[in-house]
Amino acid sequence: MSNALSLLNGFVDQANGATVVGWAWDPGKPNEPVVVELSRNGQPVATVSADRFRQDLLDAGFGNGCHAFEIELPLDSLDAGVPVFSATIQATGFELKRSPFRCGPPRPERDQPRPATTAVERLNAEIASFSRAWTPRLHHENRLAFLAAREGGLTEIQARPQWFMIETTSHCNLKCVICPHGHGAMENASDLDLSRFSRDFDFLASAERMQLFGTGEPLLSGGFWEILESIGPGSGVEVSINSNGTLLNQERIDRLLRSPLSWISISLDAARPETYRRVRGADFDVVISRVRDLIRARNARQAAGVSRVGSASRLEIFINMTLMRENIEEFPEFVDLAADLGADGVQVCQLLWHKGHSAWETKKGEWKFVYRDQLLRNLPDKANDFIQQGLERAATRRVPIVFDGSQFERSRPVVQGEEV
Amino acid sequence: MTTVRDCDYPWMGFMIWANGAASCCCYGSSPVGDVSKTPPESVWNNSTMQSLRASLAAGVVHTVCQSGTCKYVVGSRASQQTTRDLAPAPADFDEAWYVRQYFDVCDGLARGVWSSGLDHYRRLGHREFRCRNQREWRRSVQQQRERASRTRAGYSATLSWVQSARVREHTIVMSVCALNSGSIAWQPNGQGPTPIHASAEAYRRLDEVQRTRPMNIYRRDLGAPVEPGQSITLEMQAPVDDFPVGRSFLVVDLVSDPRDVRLTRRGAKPLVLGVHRDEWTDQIDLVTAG
Repeated sequence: MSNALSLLNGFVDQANGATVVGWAWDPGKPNEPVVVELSRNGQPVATVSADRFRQDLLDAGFGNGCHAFEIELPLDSLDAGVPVFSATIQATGFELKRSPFRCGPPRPERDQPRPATTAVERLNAEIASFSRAWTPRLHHENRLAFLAAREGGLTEIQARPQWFMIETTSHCNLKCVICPHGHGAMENASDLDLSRFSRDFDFLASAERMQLFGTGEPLLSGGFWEILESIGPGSGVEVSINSNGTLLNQERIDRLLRSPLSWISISLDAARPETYRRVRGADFDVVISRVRDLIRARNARQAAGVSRVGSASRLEIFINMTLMRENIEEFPEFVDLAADLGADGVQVCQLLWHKGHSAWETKKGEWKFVYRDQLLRNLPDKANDFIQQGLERAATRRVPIVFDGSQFERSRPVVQGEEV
Repeated sequence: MTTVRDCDYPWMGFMIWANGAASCCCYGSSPVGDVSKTPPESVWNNSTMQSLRASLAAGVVHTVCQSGTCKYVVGSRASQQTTRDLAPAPADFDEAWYVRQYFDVCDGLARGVWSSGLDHYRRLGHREFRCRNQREWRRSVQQQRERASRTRAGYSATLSWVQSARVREHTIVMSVCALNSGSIAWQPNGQGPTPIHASAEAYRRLDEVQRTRPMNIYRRDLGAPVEPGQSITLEMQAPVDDFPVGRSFLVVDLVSDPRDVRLTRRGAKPLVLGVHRDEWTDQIDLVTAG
C-alpha cells in the first residue's frame, strides 16, 4: 500500500486570498482526475476535482494533462484564528507538496503584537524532546553488524537474520487442487520440532519480518502459536501468515487479535460457493462467516481502543485468490466480496508453471482438474480482460489490490500467452 | 550483470521447514542444516553457511545454489564458465572429517549426488573456500577471528555542527563535520555495493494530531572515500520552499541507502535542526541541537 501511496503526486502552487491553485495526479489512473480535499484542523472544508488542463502537466508526462484545480474556499472557513489548511488526495491520505499552507486575509501589520508564546519558543522546547525521542530503528545495530560482516569479508557473523520464513507445520486440513496436499504429494508432512530452539526463541529476536507459514495450515500447529506468542511488546517485527480460514473459531480469533500478528491473508480462490467447493473442497458459507467474525472482532477491538502486543496497532486482513482458468471470471466478484466483507484488500497471484506440477490431475465427481490446463498463459486475452475488470472494480470500490509482481509480466498484472 | 556476488540472502534471511531443513532462500537452494538436530543459531554459522558466504562474496556459485533458479545464479551462469575439470585429489584430504563437517556434502551424499566427499571436493568444494581437514579448519577459524577483531567497530559515524545552520539564497544550509569513528572506509557513490551518503531527513510537526511525520529526504555524495579516523566537512542543503508553515525537524546523518541503515549508532546524540516557518510572514527560524 505504501508503494502505491508514494507514487501519488501533487502540488499546491498558489494560495491567495480564498483561492487555492494546484494539481494532483494518480499514476495508477493516469488519465482520470482525482478529488482533492481541503481541510482545516483535520476537518474537511471543501473538495474539488483536479480535472483542468495544463500544458506544463502534459509536457511533464502527467497523463493527459487534465489534473489541475482551482477552488475558492468557503468564507466561513477563513475567519477565526490563523487559517492554515491541508490539501490531500481524497481517500488516500496523500498530502500535496507545499501543504499545509496559509490562506485567507492578508498578513497583519508589522507592528501588530505577536502572541506571547511564539512558535519559535515552542520549537526550542520541542527540539530537545524530538532529539531524545528520535532514535534509529530497533534493529539498527543488527543491520550495522550485517553490514560490517558483508564489507569486512566475515563468514562467521554476529548479525542475526533480518527475516525468517518458518513453516511450523506442513499438515493441512484441506486438500486444495492447486496444492501438493490435493495430489498426494505431502505424504511426509510433519510438525516442526522446536526442541532445539532456546526457550525464549532469542535467535528470532533480531527479525524485522517473520512469515509463519509454508505449505501447511498454521492455525493447526502448536509451534505456530508458541512462536507467535513468544514475541514480546516492542519487538518491532512484522508477522504475517496465510491461512485457509476454516479453523477461525472465537478462541483462535481472540488469540490472533491479542498476538502481534500484523497481517493475515485468507486463501479463498473463489467468489462463488461452487467454485470454492471444487477448488478447496470446503463450505464457502462457513469460511466466509468465519472471516466476517474475524473482521468484526478486529474492528470491535480497534473501536474500543484495545492495545496490542508488538509493532502492529491493527491486524491487516486480506483475502487472496490464485488466478486460474477455473476462477478467472470471478475476479471482479472477488473484489466485491472483499469490499462487502470489509477486508483491507485483495492479494492476487496466478497458478505457477512448475515442471513437477504439470502432471497433476484430479477428479471430483464430474469435474476434472488438470493443472497444466488451468494456467492463465493458456488464455491470456480472457485473463487480461477479467484482470482489467477486477482492477476497475477495485478502483470503484476502493479495494487495494496486491499483485505478486514476480508472477506477472514486468510487475504489472498482465498475463503473457506462451506455450506450456 | 547481476551475479551471486550481489546476493545478500545468507547474511539476512533464514528459512526453516517443518521437516527441520534450513535454507537461505526459496529459489531452489538446497538445505544448509537441520534445526531438528542442531540449534538454529549453530546452523546459521555452520561450516556450510561460512563456505556459502565466502563463495558468494567471491562470485562463485556454491553447491547449495547449484539447483537455484534466482537471478543471481542465472546471471552468474550466463557470465561464467560452467564446465570445469576435476581438481587433483589433495594428499591431506580427510574424507571422514570433510563429510562430517559440511552438512550440504553429507546431504548430497545421502541423496546420491556425490560418490564421496572427495568427489564433491574435486568437482566443486575446492572452489568454495572449504577446508580439507581439521588442521586447516582451525587455521581458518583463527584467521576469521583476527579479521573480526579488525572489523569490530564496523561502520560508525560521529557528527557535529561546523557552524550554526543558516538560510542562504532561499536554501537552508547545514555545515557538518563527519568523523569516521568505525573501522571500515566510507565509499562514495559508484564504488562498491555499499555507497555512503550524507543525509538530511525532514520531519514535520502536525499539531492537530500531536504527531511528527516524515516529509522529505536530501542526500549528498561524499565525493571521495573517507578512511577510518578521517573527518570530512559536508554542506547539506534543503530548499526553503520545501518547508510548510509551522514546525519541522531535520535529522542529519550518514546513511547507506541500498542497505537501509544509518551510521550514527544507537545511544549517540543525533544531529537535529529545528525549522519554523511563520504562517504570517514566511520568515524561517532555525534552532540546532546535537
